[in-house]
Amino acid sequence: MTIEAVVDDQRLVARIVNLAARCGCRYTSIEARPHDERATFLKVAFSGTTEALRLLEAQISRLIAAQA
Amino acid sequence: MNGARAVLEALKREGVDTIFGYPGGTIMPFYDALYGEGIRHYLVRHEAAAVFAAGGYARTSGRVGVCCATSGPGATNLVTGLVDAFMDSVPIVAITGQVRSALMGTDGFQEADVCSITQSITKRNMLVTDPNAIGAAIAEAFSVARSGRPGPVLVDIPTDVLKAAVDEAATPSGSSRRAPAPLASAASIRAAATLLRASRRPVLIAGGGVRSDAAVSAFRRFAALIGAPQTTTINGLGAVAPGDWHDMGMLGMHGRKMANLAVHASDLIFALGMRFDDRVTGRTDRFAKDAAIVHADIDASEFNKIIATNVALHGDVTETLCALITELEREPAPRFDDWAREAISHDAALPSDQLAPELLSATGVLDRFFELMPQDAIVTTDVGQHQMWAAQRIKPRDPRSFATSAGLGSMGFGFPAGIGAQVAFPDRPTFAICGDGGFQMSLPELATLRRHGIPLKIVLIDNRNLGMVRQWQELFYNERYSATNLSDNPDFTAIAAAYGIPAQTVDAPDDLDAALARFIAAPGPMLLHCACYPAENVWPMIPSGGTIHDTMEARVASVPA
Repeated sequence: MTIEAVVDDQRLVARIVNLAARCGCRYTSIEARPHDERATFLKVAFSGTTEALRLLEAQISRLIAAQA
Repeated sequence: MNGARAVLEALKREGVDTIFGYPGGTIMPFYDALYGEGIRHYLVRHEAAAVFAAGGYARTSGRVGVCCATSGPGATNLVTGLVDAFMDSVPIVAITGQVRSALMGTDGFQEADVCSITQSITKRNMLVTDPNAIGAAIAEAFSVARSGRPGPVLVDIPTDVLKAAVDEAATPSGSSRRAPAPLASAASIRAAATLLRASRRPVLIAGGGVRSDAAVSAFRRFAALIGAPQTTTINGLGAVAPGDWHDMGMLGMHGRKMANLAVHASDLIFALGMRFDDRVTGRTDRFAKDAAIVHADIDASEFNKIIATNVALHGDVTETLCALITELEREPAPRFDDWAREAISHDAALPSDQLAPELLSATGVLDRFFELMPQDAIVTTDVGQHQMWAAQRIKPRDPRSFATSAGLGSMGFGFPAGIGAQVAFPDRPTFAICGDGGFQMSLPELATLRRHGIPLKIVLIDNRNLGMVRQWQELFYNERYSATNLSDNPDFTAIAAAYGIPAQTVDAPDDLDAALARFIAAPGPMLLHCACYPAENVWPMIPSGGTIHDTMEARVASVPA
């Protein structure tokens, strides 16, 4: 599973990595770079069981949605 | 105007008139700004009580609870209450002082990176480094805390920023706005209604998302329209209309057996503002295994998280219920009163341990207390056996009249949450039901009652044990009672007296009614110390990870001496 997002709070990178560990997944690659003066572009690939990845995706979606 | 004054003015713009807090070095500029101001500050005796009190205030009033603390230990003492609010979706804004900017990152005195610490337990947190950004930050904090699925927000402000001059032209005017909530799609509403029309045995489950007045009203209208049996999670208690015979009480591990049986037999679950906590579902692959699931929630991440959803109604639960009502008025579903009658036919008195008549039982105390309690009372509980006994028995007039630490199960919550509730509603009788374990985690708040003349009353269920843990040790750990015996409890009435709080002990069933009558009628704060039989258990009980078929309703062995 790979997620891509533009986030206003770059600390979300750490949060997402921690969440992956909590959900029993691991990240296999990670890319974070400035998107503009404020936002950060984030692309993270994860491995894990289907169930774990489903849970992780929902949690990440919540994090990103909460930013809006 | 300095930064601290900017915080205060921003709070006023949000309509804040109450803060729970504890001062310290880095938050001093804010306390200086508070001095002589109109905002009521309640000085607690531990920061944990500040955030629990803010939670009690928010849970019962629906307003955002506000607490503040200094940096380092002050801020970290807020952590449990913030998780508690996060788990139960309670809107709180916590303001913490931080060491001055130049010290940050140097391991300075009372420095803690509270934003990192609380990142996973707040909806948002922010370190404000620009004094001119304070007004916008506070407004954002309130908007985030109360928008969508409510929750806690932490604003961390270095002490030099609190002291710095603020350009008043940069200060926003007006209060923050609540972000618009999503609305369930028309297609999803139609799909849910179609399932309902085809159903024979639907069950409505109301959770903590059905707490606002509007949500409760919509839930009751929806329930009345279809006549289905209703149950609630612990946070949804009070959602069902008082006296509605379709009410099956709470479901789950210590829920009513009829509620669990009905869910098990159901062919359609309407899960409204609830999240399928493991204390509700037990073994998930057997939970309502023959039922389709219609799940209404404002948080899309809840769908399919625990239980597979057939129809997801993503939106504000009030609007969702109103849309469902409109759809069912257009094309009605059958009424389900016959099924409801069948479901409640399994009702039975709550099982309890049969004790010798001279022993005071906790369940006996609570049964009688809830009979005598004023109808408009607010009740908070701590965590443990007394919490479950209370949740099984209480019939709050609405969900905001009952506040408990449900998701996190934080001992030490009940008493300060009661303080927050009583402050929110000074004219309503308010009771905190505590166990002897949890009460001793927040006992110094007796001083807060005394200082501020808060008329909160405390029902202390003292069974001289960490009762719920003791119960599990009895049932699942071969009666190896490790570290749960509190037989050396202090003299609680003497402690209360030392704080200037009236107290009395009741230890015999024959004295209970008179003691309760005096307690309830007392004009100010009071502690009723109930010296109860130590080995009473909470029944029924579905063991963790179990199913309805594993329900335990009594000890296998005789009642211990």
